[in-house]
Amino acid sequence: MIAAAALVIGVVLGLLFEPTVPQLLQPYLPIAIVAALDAVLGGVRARLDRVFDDKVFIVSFISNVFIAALIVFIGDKLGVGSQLSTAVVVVLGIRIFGNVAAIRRHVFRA
Amino acid sequence: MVDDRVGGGPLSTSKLGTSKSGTAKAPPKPPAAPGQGPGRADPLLVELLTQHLDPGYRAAADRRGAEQGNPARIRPPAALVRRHRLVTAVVLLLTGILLSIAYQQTRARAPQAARTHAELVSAVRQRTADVDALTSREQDLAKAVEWRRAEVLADSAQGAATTAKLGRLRDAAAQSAVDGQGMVVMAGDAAESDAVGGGPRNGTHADSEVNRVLDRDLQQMVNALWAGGAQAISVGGQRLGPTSTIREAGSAVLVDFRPLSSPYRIVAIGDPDKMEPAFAESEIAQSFTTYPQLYGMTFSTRRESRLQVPAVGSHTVSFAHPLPSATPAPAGTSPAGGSSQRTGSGAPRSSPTAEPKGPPHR
Amino acid sequence: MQIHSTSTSSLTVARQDDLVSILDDLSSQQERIRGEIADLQATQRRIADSGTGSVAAIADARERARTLGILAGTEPAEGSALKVTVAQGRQRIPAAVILDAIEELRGSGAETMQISGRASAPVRLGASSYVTDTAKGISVDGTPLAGPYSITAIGDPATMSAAMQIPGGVVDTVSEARGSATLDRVARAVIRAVRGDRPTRYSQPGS
Repeated sequence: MIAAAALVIGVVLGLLFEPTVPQLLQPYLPIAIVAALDAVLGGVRARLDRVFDDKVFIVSFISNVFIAALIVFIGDKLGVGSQLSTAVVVVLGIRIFGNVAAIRRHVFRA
Repeated sequence: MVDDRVGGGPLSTSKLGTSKSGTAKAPPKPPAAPGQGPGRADPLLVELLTQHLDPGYRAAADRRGAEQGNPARIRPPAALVRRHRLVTAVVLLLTGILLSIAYQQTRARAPQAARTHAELVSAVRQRTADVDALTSREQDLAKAVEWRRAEVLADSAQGAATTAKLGRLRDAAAQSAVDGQGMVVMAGDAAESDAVGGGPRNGTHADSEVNRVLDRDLQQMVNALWAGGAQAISVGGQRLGPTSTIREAGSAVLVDFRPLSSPYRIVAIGDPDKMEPAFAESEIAQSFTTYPQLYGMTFSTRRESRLQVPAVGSHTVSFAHPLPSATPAPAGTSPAGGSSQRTGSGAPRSSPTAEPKGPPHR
Repeated sequence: MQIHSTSTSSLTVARQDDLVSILDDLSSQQERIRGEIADLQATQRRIADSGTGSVAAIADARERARTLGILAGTEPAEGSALKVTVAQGRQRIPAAVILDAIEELRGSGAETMQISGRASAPVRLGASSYVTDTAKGISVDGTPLAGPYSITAIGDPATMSAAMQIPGGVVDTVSEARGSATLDRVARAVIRAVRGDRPTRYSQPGS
């Protein structure tokens, strides 16, 4: 539907226009990606569970990305940047897998 | 019935006591994390492993459910709903852009990563060549020193005896080149295209290391050759001495810290009639004869009549010192060599004064 | 002396971290060999200075003989050491585990070692030492030994101890074999076991 279309259009736009990320934000790009993926997959699962809510999705997306980047930023300042980054990725990764498993159960009834 | 399950204890019995249901079954407990007390799991871990959906969704759904039950519910205005949908779409658009940016960046960095890798590889090659040159220089120098020393000592009988003893000790410490008959063992990794998809031979190694000869394999082959009576062994042209090591860093096998590449050539000088059957019967050889078929690796052995192994580089001994009391007797009574292999004595070694070697042990 | 050049295959598929560590190892080897060359040059000077047939030359040669003897295992030795005690559980510890321990100790700087079993005289280890399985335990250089085994390795105790404890290292492999390994750093250990000379019927020293 509209949501999936928006995602695809976004990817296409990105490939077409090749925007550059400012140097300052470069290090946080990977963690932002993982956080965004977690929020999007969480939204998809919520949709399939029929509990989806736009407001929750938007807030969770923004807060995920922002907080993940903040944790890594503070970690960098304290010298534990890569360790905290790993921890964030692990937690988000677990959530991603959990949501994907739930989505799979819905889609394949398996 | 439940008592013995998760470490029994006060918690489970109290639950049993207060259970309202008619059955004696205690309510299921969350799985206990290892090392925790009886029955109580760490809520953080439990939440991490089970709650993957943002709790906000559930809360919003509950709220909606509550509203639907309420007849005085106010529907959110359609404009608000549309705005939310729009923002959701925008957010997904941004995500899409973000994903494609990340993809492009990773692709752009790949050539740089490959360049760095190529630089590292050439640095390793260069330094290996440097080490080779240094080793060669060291060996020439060591030879020159021994010649000079022998010259200096040649004038006295004691000196000559000492020179002979030094020669024997150098042989024993693998610091002289050796040639003679023996056997050659070749073992190689599966070529990239030949690799047959067998399961990992050693479950602890990552997939990319399947179908490779490991340091452990070479160690066991060398072990089997020594057990079969080898006198001198070299791996990949590197002589194995008292302090030589065979190890690996990732996918490269290193002998004495020098990287080698497949196929690995083990040269063992000794009596082929004894070594060949002993080696063929060893566990490692028997496993390896099946590997070419199973994994596409290579393995072969053959005997040769003219083999040569180089000397091992000299090794400065800095931690070990001779015992202060056991000074070898001077002048003409230097301990003889060639006695049959002794494996340990409580007292310092004493020996007859005879010079010539005893009968060979084997 | 054969000089082997590393062919393309194994290095190009190596990961970056591995290449860096190989580079580090090669650098430290360079340092070590430079040190050996300096020692040899000093020895050269000493021999040149000592004159023919002199007592100093003979004393120097005896010094060298003792160092070689320690390496070859024909001479008792003492020094700071690591004692590795491998106790077995219900199953016997396979020879491969002990072999691994010996290799690892060599790799972390053990200059000379001896191994003993329960109630048996220690066996001095050398370049040609081998470990094989027996019904009850292991056999080192033809001498059967039963557990628990004790390896004394003279070298830098801290380096050797660290190497034993790396993940996947000897302590781990021993516990995988249902045994237990204990490490003792000692400031001074004495290794009295010696090796006899090996017969050299089938080889002659080359040039």
